[in-house]
Amino acid sequence: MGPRALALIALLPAVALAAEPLDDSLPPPVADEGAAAATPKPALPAQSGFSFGSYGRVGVGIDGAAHEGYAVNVVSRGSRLEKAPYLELYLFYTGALTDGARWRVVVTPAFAGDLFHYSGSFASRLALRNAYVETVDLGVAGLRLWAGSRMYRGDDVYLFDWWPLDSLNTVGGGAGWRGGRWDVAIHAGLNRIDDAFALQSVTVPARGLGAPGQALAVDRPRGVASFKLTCLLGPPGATAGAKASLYGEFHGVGEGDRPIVAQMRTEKLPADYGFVLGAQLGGWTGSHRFVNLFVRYAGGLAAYGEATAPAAVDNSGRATAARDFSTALSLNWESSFFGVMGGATVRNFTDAAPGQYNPANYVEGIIAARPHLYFGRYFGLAAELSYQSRKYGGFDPLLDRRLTPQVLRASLMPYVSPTGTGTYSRPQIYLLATVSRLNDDARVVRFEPGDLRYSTATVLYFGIGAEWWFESLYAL
Amino acid sequence: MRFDCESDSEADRKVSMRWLLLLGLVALPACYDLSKVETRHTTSNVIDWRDEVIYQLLVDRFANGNRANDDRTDPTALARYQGGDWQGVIDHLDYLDRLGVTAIWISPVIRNVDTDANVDGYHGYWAQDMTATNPHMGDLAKLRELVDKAHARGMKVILDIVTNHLGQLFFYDINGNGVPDENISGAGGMGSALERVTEYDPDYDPRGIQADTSLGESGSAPIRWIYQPEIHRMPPRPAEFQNPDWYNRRGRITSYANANHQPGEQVYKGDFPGGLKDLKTSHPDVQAALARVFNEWIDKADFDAFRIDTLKHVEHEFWQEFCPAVRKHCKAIGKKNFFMFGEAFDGDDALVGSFTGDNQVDSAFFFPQKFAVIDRVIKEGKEGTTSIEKQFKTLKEAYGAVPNVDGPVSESGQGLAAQQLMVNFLDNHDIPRFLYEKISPPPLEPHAALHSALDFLFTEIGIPCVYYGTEQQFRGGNDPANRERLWDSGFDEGNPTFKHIQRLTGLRKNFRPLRRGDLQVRWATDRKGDEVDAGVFAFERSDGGKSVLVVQNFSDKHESKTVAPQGGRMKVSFPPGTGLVNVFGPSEPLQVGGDGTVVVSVPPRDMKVFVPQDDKDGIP
Repeated sequence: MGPRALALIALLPAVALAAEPLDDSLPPPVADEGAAAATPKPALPAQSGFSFGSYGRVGVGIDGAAHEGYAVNVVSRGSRLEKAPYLELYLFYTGALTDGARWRVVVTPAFAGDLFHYSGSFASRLALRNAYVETVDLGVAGLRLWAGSRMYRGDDVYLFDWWPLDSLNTVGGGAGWRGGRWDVAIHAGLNRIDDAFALQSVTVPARGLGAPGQALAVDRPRGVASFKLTCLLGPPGATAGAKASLYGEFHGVGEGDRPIVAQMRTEKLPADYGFVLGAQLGGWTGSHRFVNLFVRYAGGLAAYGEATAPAAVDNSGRATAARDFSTALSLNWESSFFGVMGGATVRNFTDAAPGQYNPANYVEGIIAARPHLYFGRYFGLAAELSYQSRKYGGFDPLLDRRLTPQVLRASLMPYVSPTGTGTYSRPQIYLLATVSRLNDDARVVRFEPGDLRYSTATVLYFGIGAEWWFESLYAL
Repeated sequence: MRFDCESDSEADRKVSMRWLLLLGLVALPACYDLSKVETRHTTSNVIDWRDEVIYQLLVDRFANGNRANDDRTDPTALARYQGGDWQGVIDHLDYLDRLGVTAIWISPVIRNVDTDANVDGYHGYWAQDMTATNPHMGDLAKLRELVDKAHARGMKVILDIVTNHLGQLFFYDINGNGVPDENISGAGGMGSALERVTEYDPDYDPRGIQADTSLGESGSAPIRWIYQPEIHRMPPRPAEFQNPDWYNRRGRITSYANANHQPGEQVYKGDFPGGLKDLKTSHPDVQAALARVFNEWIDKADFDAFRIDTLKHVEHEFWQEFCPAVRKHCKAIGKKNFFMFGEAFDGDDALVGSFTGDNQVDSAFFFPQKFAVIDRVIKEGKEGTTSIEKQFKTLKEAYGAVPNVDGPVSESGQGLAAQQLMVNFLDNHDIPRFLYEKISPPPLEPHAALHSALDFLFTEIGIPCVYYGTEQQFRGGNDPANRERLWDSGFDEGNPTFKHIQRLTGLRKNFRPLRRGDLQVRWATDRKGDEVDAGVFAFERSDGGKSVLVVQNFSDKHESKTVAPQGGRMKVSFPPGTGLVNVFGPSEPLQVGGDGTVVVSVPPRDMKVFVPQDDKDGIP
């Protein structure tokens, strides 16, 4: 029996374990770079007006030798605890029409990079993550229409800061309809990433006197189309229920001729394609108890993500052979004095380059749990335990053997949350102490020989931080 | 925890199962099977090296199997990387098999300085890290895959190694300013000649390169390692090679003069052109370290032989330490018939031969034959075929006659000496291709002389070695023009030369005496050029009581026959009355006369191979 067959069998018990809800009664939204939110979705204001929301996290820490604290993940999506500061501001205006329809304009500036009070550098990286207009119930009950620049996301695995399905960044538009137990959405858009894979120009002589000009030589925007179909398996509005989703993406880029000016020649860049097929099963029993199981299978261009150029191509210049097969589990369980968040993923990535022993191929996995104890309404103590490992498909060029980095982590997080108890209650102000144990391969993978962190097998992190979100925009 | 289903131990397996149960709902997407390349078991693959047909290939030029490692390639400039890799060789093992190749000699596999003076280290002779693979070619797993897949079809793999020098990894800080200087002084006029001084590659100084400023000399110039990680021009590895005392530090060779059939001091101790730093191979620690480094490559990838670069630039004493150390290691790991042959780019038989036998290398590239026979007789026709006979006599006199202890052996276990194992070639990566220098005149086909030379290569005593691209009639001149991309040919198996080599490898395979037999010259002539019967040459190869008669004509002009001006005829070893048949070409009968002689007439640039009628289907 092959590993994929095992995968399918392993999925079966998950059906019984429920999923994250569609309604608005359960955990609050979660966001990050790329923003996004897990369900539930807060209702739009019934009246016209401006609104404001935000996601952010700020933290700082040191390691056991008083160096700047650092994360020690060896998998694509590891623990989010030591992630760098990040901020999104949600600026939106909602217009309420007399027939109950609504519309809104959403603009999301996002900030990353150095904090002035840390680096002394009066600079920040600013991006406009969203700029779109959306209508709801306009003419047809349950109909949604949107266009513009949009992050398009579904449910996440909070502990790893990861959206296994519908995590798209494009400029385009889409439509959706929600009615009864069904929710269907389609979206299509373009991006043209700032990479030679998509965009290149050459310097050409001035027509007359003056500076040389630029001529566009490669222009290959990526078209991305996606669909999602969700079926509520329980009665709508019930405190317990389940849902199932099917998800798909199609990616495509056109061909091009890449100029290599120094060699006075061009290289053919063939048209290329990719796909994603995914599914989600989820269930909830109310009171912030849910579990979600995701399966994602991507091929070709899409194996590298929609905003990333393929790291390698095959001998025809395409990424056809690339594959990314992931499964993920996300859960949350709460009582009046205790809560626990959980997550696990396994991922098998196959690079587009040929060869059985390609070092870019890997199988990786992580499992993590974050239990919380509540001390009164505002105070709590969380602990996070995780284990992660990656096995590479080829040899490390330095050590001439296949590496299997592994990291075992344990964290303690005393915190205060003014919005009350709950694993998802935010804002949250916390102290953080983490000890991570790296095996030899993890040290090799993480750092170059000569790096002052190279020989550290036990990595400590002592820090303080805060995380918040309110009024998420991912709510229509 | 491990996520594969190829856990290395029972304990791992138990842990894996426990974690899988804990994960419960999350699937195991896949696993890799790397077990075949993760551990090595060295093997003995050679029955008798005389049976082999070697194919020399520059990995960067042979086939591009993986575009993902095409770093800094420039297909418009042959001095740059082109993109060939080990995956490309793997992909074309069938091609080599069909050509009849039984051993592939691949260019060096170790990490090189990527580029130097706007020329790339694609060839592999600019070592920087002798422990690591060259990432332009693949990784160790890929290299092992190549060797394993070659072995699986009975093909051997020969590793090209260099012990004489490393890449240009340091400069001589002659003026003590800590940076590499290149100065041109003088005005170029009378009494003010232009003089170029480079701290990278100063001219040879028998005292060692001297520090020197405007105030005069101040003793040995210190060396400074170069730190250019972007091109991997870094201090050498293993780190023990960062000891300045392990280098001769005398600067670049300016004279290749030999003395008494031995290399001169500069050849031994000077830096190789291009600033390639000469190792102090007379130092016992250097000898031991080099043996250790290259023995590890046998362990790592199960190679079957070493082709050793710049043989004559390294002292005899080194080879007498290095070669036994390699043989001892091979014996210890159970690897039999490991073969070492060296490249001494020299036409002096006595010099080249002095490096064979006596516990040195098992064999050498037959450069003297290349100059005296391939060029002067076969290519140019400027000497009679008696020069070939003379070369064979010299082979017996100048090259190792006694097998090395624990060196290559025959199928019966008898030691083989250098005289039986010389590696014969027409051209290689350091000299112009045969077709660059010789195109046959009409009405002959342009490649007629090449085919004629190949006929000789595959029937004479020794091991034939074909330079990649010969089968596709490449005709590049000196380096780098002779290092073409083979994939430009489309790997055309219909090329007449591909087919001709196929015939020759088949002939050699079918008739054992052509591989293992002794050689007796039966006919040679002093006549040359347009003279009657010039270019004809005949010899017999005999093994186990079986003989094959080979008669060739190297003339571009006319048919030649084995008859002396005075009427003398060719005497052969076959009994009078024996019926012979040509097995290479039209089935032409020939009967040995009552006096034990025959007369064979051969068209220009052709060959006939006669065996007794009973042996016409082959001599196993």
